[in-house]
Amino acid sequence: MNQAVNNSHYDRVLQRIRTEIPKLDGGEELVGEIMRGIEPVSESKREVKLWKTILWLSNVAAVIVLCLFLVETLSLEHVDEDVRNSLTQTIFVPEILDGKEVSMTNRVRFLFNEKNEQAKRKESFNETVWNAFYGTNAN
Amino acid sequence: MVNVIAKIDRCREGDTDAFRYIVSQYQQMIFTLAFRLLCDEEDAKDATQETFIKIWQNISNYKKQYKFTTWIYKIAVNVCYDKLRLEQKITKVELRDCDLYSNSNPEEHLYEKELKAIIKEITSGLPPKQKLVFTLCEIEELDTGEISVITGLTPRKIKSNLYLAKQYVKLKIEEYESSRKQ
Repeated sequence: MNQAVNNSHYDRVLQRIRTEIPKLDGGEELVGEIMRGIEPVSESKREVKLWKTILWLSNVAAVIVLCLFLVETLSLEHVDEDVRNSLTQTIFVPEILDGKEVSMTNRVRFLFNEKNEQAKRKESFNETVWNAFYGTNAN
Repeated sequence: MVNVIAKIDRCREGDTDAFRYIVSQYQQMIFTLAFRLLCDEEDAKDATQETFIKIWQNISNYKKQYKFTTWIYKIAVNVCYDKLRLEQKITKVELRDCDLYSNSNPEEHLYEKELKAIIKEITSGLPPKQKLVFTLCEIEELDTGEISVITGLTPRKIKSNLYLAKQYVKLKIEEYESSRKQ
């Protein structure tokens, strides 16, 4: 019985709170205050947006610069390697020319002639050996 | 509703006139909720103002899968919850009898004062979380799913908070009724 009374009181009071809507005095004033409140916010919002754009663009620029730097570094390394390889190639200078001032072109020409001479000598040696075994008109 | 969504889209583009429409449409609703939670007209007005400024700042985060009213309730509840916690920290307030209705007529004044007194009488001793759940469930009559979205509490926690709050409020109502009879 007591519980039922309690519940009826509870329902009645709650019903009253639900139905009685507190009246907002000076609603227009409040709208005005809110609108004034958001003005600096929208200003600062624009500023933040601008800064964000600047930051984004500078990041993009930094990435591009970094990429260019990397590409440049890698290609330079490649060039360096070529240069190093070319420098480490040994040019054998025959003893006969050692200590003499001979231009690179002449040295190369000498080496070329020397090689031709060697080939000719080898060929004549082979011919001599062949003739010794099989005779001059064997073929 | 279509109109409101169009206005929200325009607010996202920074249209303050569209936002003025939103404020005029929902300010009474937010004020009522804030008044029921804070039991003070000035505090409720401040909370309403703060809520709408936060709505403007975060309008781009609003997801259309939720009801717009649920989303703005969530912001309002957060604002009021912070105020309630602050109030609880500062002091356990007594029923204040300050003259806030000097511009309205005396009858209305008495009426609102009584409403404020009732709400305050029956809910002032509740912890902020229980007060929030009680107000949303028993006074605003929202369903558990919506309260869960607004408060971030699980349905189980909502139920337990509501149970404790109802026990307390029933006791307070009895005290209130008996004091009125005397």
